[in-house]
Amino acid sequence: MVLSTAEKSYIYDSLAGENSTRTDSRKNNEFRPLKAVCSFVPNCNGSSRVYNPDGIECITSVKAKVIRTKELSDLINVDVDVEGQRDNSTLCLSLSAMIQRALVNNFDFEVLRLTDKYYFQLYVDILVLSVPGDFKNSSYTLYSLLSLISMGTYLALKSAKLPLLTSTTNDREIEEEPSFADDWELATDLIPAESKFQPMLIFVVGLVGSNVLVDPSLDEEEVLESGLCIGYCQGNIVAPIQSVALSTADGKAFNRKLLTKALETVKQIGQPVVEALESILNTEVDEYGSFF
Amino acid sequence: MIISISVPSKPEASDTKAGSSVVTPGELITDDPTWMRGHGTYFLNDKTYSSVAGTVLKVNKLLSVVPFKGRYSPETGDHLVGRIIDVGQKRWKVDIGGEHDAVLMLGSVNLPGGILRRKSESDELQMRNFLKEGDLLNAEVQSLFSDGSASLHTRSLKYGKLRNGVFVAVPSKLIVRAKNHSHDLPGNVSIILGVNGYCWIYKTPLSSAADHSASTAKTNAELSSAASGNYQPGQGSVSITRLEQESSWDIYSDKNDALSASIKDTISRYKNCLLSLSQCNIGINEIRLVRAYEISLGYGDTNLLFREEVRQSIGEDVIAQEKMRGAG
Amino acid sequence: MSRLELYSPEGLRVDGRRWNELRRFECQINTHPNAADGSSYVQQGNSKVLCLVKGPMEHGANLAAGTKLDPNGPVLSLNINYPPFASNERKKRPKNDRRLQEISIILKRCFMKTIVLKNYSRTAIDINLTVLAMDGGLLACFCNAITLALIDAGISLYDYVSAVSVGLYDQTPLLDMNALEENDLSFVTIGVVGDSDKLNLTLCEDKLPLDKLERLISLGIEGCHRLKELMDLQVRVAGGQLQERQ
Repeated sequence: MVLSTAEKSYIYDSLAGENSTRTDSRKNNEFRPLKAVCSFVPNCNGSSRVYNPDGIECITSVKAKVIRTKELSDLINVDVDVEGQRDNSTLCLSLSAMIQRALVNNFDFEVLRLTDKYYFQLYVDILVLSVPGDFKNSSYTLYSLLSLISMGTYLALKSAKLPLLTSTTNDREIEEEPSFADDWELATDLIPAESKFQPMLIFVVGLVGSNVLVDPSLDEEEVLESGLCIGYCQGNIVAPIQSVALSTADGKAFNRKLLTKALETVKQIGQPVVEALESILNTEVDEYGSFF
Repeated sequence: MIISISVPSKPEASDTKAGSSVVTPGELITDDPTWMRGHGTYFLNDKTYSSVAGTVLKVNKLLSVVPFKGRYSPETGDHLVGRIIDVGQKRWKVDIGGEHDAVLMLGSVNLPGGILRRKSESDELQMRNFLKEGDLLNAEVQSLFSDGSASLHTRSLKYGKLRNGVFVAVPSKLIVRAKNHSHDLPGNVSIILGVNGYCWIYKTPLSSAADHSASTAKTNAELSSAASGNYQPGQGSVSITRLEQESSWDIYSDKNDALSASIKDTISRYKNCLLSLSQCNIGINEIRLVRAYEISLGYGDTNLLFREEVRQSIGEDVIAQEKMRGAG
Repeated sequence: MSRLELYSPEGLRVDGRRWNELRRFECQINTHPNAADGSSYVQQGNSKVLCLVKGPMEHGANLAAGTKLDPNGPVLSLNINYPPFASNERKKRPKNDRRLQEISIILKRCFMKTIVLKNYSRTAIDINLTVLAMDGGLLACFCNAITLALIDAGISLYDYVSAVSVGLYDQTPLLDMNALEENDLSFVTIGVVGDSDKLNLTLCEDKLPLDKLERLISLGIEGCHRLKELMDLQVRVAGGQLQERQ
């Protein structure tokens, strides 16, 4: 979307002022209505589909594999594929790297431990199904996808199920490969309900004037002065805290007070978002139904 | 409420009123060869088949199928809103949401200095100063090319560059064709409902409100002067002088007027109403829009209106009201 | 590994079907109204495919730079997303996978014969296919999904194209093969034009006794007609929902 000068200044003036009016009249700390569903891909351990009203859709799958390793950071692999972009495009690579690093830094690897020697290795594959048609000629960078992707990853991880381990967990002495129950009815959650651990989320906020905008829409991104992505995990702000260019149009430096304000905002919105995601996880899905 | 995430719901298979007039590709419509075959049909061995999924439309002897969905296809005289996507040799390319981009020739626009002057080479060089990529304008379809693409013109004061407002796109199918597609709405806001589904909601320009009183004053003055017999040349030809005044550089300005917060609030309320109608698949015209606006006032603050369920219920209310009025 | 019994003496296949039975077929159209002009979702058994169609338009996103638009008809471009999670074993496929490119050429050829070309001079139509899960019948699923998405986009077609795969087990033809059967048996995929018995697409990559081909194809055509019925039903239902409320 390329906006006209008049539109840009209209939107900018509306957003930057004291009482900002957003383009779809949301409040500054409100998200657009999202749609999400999980566990709809049969041959994955966990899967989710999230999309927003702009039509940007993100399908995430989690597959687990048993490996023997000592290196914990090997256990999580993230691969982001954006429609119409090459696998090795800057966008895909940087999104993959950011999500992977963020997950590894805030992961409870206990949940992946099978035995003393064996672990589950997770492959998180993320497919961004459709990007706005005029993406190539526009100035937005799509880094705002991070927010959607991290919610998709959260849902996929939380909905992931693993087969029940039947062999012993203590294999320090005995050389034995882990074996599993054949019955899927016995499958356990990757992240057990009683575990306090929650996968991390990344929020993207836009900065304009003296305001912090949550979940900026595409037309807002065109006029924002800067963007920030902020990690959130179990009630705390975590790395990454990184400024991102949401649009190549006209970036500006931002007041450092805004950084504190942004962190404050994310702290506030984190819990409601987690609750909303949890309610999706608790919604019964018909495994054999169609999801579209 | 910070966030609402919901499971996508399948629209319930409602009473499929899809009667016999609904056809799908490859379906035989008629084997009577006297029908003329319009859009959405094809002809094979004296038989007419449908080529799209839609409803059959019979006008006189013309048989066509109107698809359920599809891009806008322009017709001469349509009032559109479009966005410049390319500046070329003596022409602009305009995105109108159709299958083809429309063309706006340099010769089909009003240029600063009055419409009656010739286009010069310097105009060609400074085309970007008039309209550049991203700019929105409203225009009329002047003619169609053989492949169905449109050539536009803005040679009237009601057409031209758009300012002081917001852009909303809805499916072109929903815009009800009418004589007039630009309306002044309650709340000092105006709207252009482009036939192509692109709409522009903006602050009612001062001149159009003032114009009424000014023109009546003028005619009064003219009447009196005519009565007194002091006729002066050029007196009756108001339009040309006005054209010259308004064809200054101002018409290509990028600067918005000062807009008060309340105007902006009204504009975003209308935007949400428009999107409510679109979400509910309701044909959009001025009356329904105003009705939706009135209903939305009952829902309180503007910043509740982005929610799906609120939009849905505004749409339902519009339909319900219409039924009531129809019955009464 | 013991060889699976693909067809039991009692006449049952691995998933419990008879020889002439289709897998559970589900389809939806207009699944992504905000993202594309036309969209569809097709599920045949455990195979799930999404298709998004953008266009007709003047700027194809998939078009290579400098591609000239054709005054005689649309330029179709087809892009297949086969994400690593779609198959049982996680496997990453490069974007220019030979097999997928071959399939996309076959599909393009098939749909250039189906679209009413003259209506779409100087335009581009982008078709994006995404495999969510694959359990056999790749080409058939693609073909059905594209047909539905094109119809949803309001693009003029001469008729539906419905496709299905048919394999041969010993002397018995098997309709609508799943991945296990595809691995071991030779099969042919056919695409049928509407209710006719004309073929718009045929692909056979294995050895097949020629004298059996006739039987396979007539069984396939029957299956395709059934699929077309199901697709048509769905198009009408979706059409009813899309109809403007007065």
